[in-house]
Amino acid sequence: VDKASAIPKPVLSIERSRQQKLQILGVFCGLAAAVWLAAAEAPSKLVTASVSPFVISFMMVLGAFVSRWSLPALIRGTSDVLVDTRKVPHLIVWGVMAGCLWAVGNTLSILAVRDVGLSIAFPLWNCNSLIGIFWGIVLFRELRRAPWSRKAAVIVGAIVICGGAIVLSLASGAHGASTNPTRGLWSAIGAGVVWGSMYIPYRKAYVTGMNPLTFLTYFTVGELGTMTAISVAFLGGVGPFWHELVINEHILFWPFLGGLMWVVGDLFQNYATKYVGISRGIPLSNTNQIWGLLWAILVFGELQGQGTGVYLKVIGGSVLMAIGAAAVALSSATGSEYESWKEASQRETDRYGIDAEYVSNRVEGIESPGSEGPRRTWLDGLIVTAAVLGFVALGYLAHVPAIEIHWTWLTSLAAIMVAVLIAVGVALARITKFN
Amino acid sequence: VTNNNGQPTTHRQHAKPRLLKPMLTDIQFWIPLVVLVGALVLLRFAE
Repeated sequence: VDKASAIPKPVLSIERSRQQKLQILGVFCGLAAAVWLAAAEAPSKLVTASVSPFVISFMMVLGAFVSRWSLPALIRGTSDVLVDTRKVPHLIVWGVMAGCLWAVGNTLSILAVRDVGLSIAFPLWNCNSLIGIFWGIVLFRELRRAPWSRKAAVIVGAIVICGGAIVLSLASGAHGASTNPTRGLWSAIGAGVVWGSMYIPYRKAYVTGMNPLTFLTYFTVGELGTMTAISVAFLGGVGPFWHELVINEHILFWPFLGGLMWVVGDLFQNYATKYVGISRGIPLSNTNQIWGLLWAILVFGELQGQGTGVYLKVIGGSVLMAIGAAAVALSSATGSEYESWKEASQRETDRYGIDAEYVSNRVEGIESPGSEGPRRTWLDGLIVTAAVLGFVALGYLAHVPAIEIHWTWLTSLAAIMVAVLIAVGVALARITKFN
Repeated sequence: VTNNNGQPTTHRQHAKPRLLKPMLTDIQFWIPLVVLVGALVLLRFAE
């Protein structure tokens, strides 16, 4: 017995190497999320300012809804979503609640931009990653038992990323007339608190081991329901809301397409949250500001002819964000911090009476023993076909606005997006089978 | 695997997750819910 106990347990070393692999995967998912979340805003730039922001938001959410039902159907099959749900049915409530939070936060951000302009509103709501880190530490034991150097790297890195984002927003955001500064400031702060708290349901789902594809399927129900209710209320009823959609039919495709790209980004963000936690995943995906500015400058020719000061802000903000992202990415969770995460998972197992084996396997991205794995049915084919038809129909109605687009840069950025999608998608498939 | 009393869990305990009571006493349920209600009130004034 003594001899046996003296031999290092290979199981533990395998576990640790798997944890390290998942950490690296999570970091790349966070960075991939930034690329796709930024690109999701690009199609909306084709929409003129005369269109109500509620119509744009609603169509983006509708595109996200369609994509979030069809992508899981394509990747693992709808039956997998149902199997996952049966194991952790209580998480439906958190999924729907997260969707509601997103929609309300988005509306508050629209109202904040209206009242105080983007350059003031953005830094205020961008505090959401810091709020997310706070909830990650307090509620999910993230960064507990981590060495001080790593805690400091994550927190300072997130603050530096926020600082970089503020500098970039000063360069890119025009100062709008402050029609109601107090109301606008509260709306922006509210959006930050709402989005920061939205990460509570995210992380709760993932310390339980839920598949991000399943979580996002329920997320969209809350998101679309709330966004529809808000749009109808703000535009004066169902009739006026429908009228707005009909008179703007030629532009509906663009935010709808943005919704698809946003879902891809959001999926990567959720996998990042699952495998590196809120405290690392969200700051990394918040570097989307750099990519957003690249789209604005290179593809849409924004900021041309501006003074040196503006370009210095762009460079300075980007460098700050890159430094912050590097600090966060390089401070992976140690074995002792990972033990702390497991305690958060244990809490869920005990409280909700979940199958412990399911939780321990799924948290590490492993298929549950006895699981048949992805299985597609005719229903999946039907969902994907309906989604494709939706895109084709709106695309048929769409007009390309007469604005200057630099196609070479657009093609280059699109190629980068596709390369990132394939590289990180293949890694996710190989390491976790999209669990 | 044991339950809260340290006894082995039965197949039935595995098969049927608990729902309502643990949720209503879960701080991780109330914090986002309170934020959501607060945000809806804020939305009413920001409109």
